[in-house]
Amino acid sequence: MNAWDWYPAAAGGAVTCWGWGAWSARRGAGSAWLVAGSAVMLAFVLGLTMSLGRPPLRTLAETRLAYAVLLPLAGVVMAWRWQAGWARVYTGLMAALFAGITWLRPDTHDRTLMPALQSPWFVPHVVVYLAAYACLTAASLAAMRGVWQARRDPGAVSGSVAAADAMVVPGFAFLTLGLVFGALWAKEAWGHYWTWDPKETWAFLTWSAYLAYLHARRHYPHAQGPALYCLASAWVVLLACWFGVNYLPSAASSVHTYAR
Amino acid sequence: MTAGALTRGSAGLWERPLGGVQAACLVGGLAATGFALEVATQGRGLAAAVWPASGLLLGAWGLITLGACLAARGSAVMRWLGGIPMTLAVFGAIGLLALVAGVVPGEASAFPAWARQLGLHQAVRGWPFALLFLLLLLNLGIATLRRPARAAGWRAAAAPLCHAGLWVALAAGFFGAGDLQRVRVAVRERDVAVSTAQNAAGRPLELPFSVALLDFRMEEYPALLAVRQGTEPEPADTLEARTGERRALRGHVVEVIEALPHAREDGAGFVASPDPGDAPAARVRVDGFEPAWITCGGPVSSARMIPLADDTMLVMMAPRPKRFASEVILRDHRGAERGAVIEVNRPQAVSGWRLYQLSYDESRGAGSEWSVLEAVRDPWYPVVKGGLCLVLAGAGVLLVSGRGHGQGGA
Repeated sequence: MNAWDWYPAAAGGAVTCWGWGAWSARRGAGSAWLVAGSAVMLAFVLGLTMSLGRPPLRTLAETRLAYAVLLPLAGVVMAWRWQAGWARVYTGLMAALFAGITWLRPDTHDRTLMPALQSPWFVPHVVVYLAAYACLTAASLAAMRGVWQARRDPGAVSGSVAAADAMVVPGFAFLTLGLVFGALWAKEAWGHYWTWDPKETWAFLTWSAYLAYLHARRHYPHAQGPALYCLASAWVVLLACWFGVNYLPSAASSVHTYAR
Repeated sequence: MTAGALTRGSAGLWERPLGGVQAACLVGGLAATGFALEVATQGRGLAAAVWPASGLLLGAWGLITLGACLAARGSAVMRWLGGIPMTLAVFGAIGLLALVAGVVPGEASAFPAWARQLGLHQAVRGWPFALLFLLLLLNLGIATLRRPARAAGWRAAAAPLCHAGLWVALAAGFFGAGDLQRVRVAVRERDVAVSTAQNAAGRPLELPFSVALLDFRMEEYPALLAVRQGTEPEPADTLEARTGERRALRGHVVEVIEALPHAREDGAGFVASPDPGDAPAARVRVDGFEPAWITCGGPVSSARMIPLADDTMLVMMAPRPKRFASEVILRDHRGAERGAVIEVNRPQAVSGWRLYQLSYDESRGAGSEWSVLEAVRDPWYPVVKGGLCLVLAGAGVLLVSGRGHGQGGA
């Protein structure tokens, strides 16, 4: 039996845990359920790794699995470290959404791993990128909450801004590590560290967007409104880099196509 | 508006404290100059300098940055040139150029005539990009030189490390671009050693080493079986064509009775072939019916599918490469010979060049008798790598300390 045949059961279990965790978060609890949901999904990912004989990080659907594991954990850290209890609701529901997308769009899930991906850089490069995506999604969710608060209760915005700032820092650090790992790997695999391939170009745009946010926050610390809009918009660029680029005209010339 | 009013307005802008608006004006002016140069040079772009000019230009730009910093230390203009508003403006402009490159394919034919005249088909390689990149290096260089004095403790080291590393990597990559050489070396099994390569323009280039191909090796994954509906390119659910495999694909139970990694037609069926260039074939049973042969087709056989319904059929997809490598003899510029295996992610160094596995005869697959290698000479890469290592260190400090710009970082 193919390990993917277990996905509906695993995703159902994880989504139930995340959903219950998000519901419980309204009463100031729920972290344990979020962690339990991620543990269920992680167990499935490990089983899939053994079944496929390779890390399940090749296709977009596979990367969504690892992202769904990490995102609720980012929410738990935000709730614990910066008293942002709402982060458990947002990240739990977002993880459930991505698990659902993977159920609807599973991509291919066979054992093949093209030679370019058979490198010691493969796992660290993808994992740090997904850790970055989880942190930056949590930060952008905080920004969206801040934008909503600015309309209803401007006095409460500073809490969302502080949580967003706190998550952007590790997210940007992971993003930088992923970008540099990718450059070093590209030199070994293709002979050059940067070729302005469409995926690389969007990785640069994503990195630039968050770099701009960090610098703007330092220079214009009181301009919270524009900063929140900037951070929420940066997440759109991140999603374009992750999978939106596959639907652009430029994608035809990309060497970063691993679904097949 | 009168000429006098224009003059007063401009003077007012540049008399105010220098900030984001003036930075946007400078960046806009540089970009406009770049586009004007693109039009004037009719899209020929700019030629990258080669050694020693590349080294001299890098040194000159470094000295200009250092000299400007020392001569005008503490001046408002220097703070502005190395400040965050300038960083935001220049990254914004470079980001817009990158956005064009990231959305539209790089071929000139994808752009209308006016966009080609402005050089937008080479948005990240033309004059506007080069001028903005020089300003970015100046901004980053000044920020790098200003920061260390203010940094205190290892937790504040993230920004100086990232700034310095980024400057080194970007400057070496930018000024050293002309010294990068990438050429193709085509070698054939059991043929004479080759010491001539072709560059991207097809011009021959004599190499300081030679390479002879002893053997091209290839391993493939088992071919995959899938139930295809209509013209969909890639069904998600697949079954490996290995003897004994059995699984339901889209409601059809598929069982592999016999699988041949390389097969040749023999009457109505197939027999095993010793030629690694022949396509795989498998005898499969679907839903308990009589077994039938299926193949993805190869150089000497056409594909066979098993129809299941009007627009549904069981297909075999061509096996994917697991590993391909060239076993070669390398003879360096001193005449020393050695054997080596070149494969993807495992290049080989010889006489200052690195050899990469590039391609092979895909129509023959594992039976390919030739291989194409890419020879790359990139003398600036150690400098770029040093810069990237500094950036890695900076990102590591940022991750551990959790302190960004807005939280008391350098």
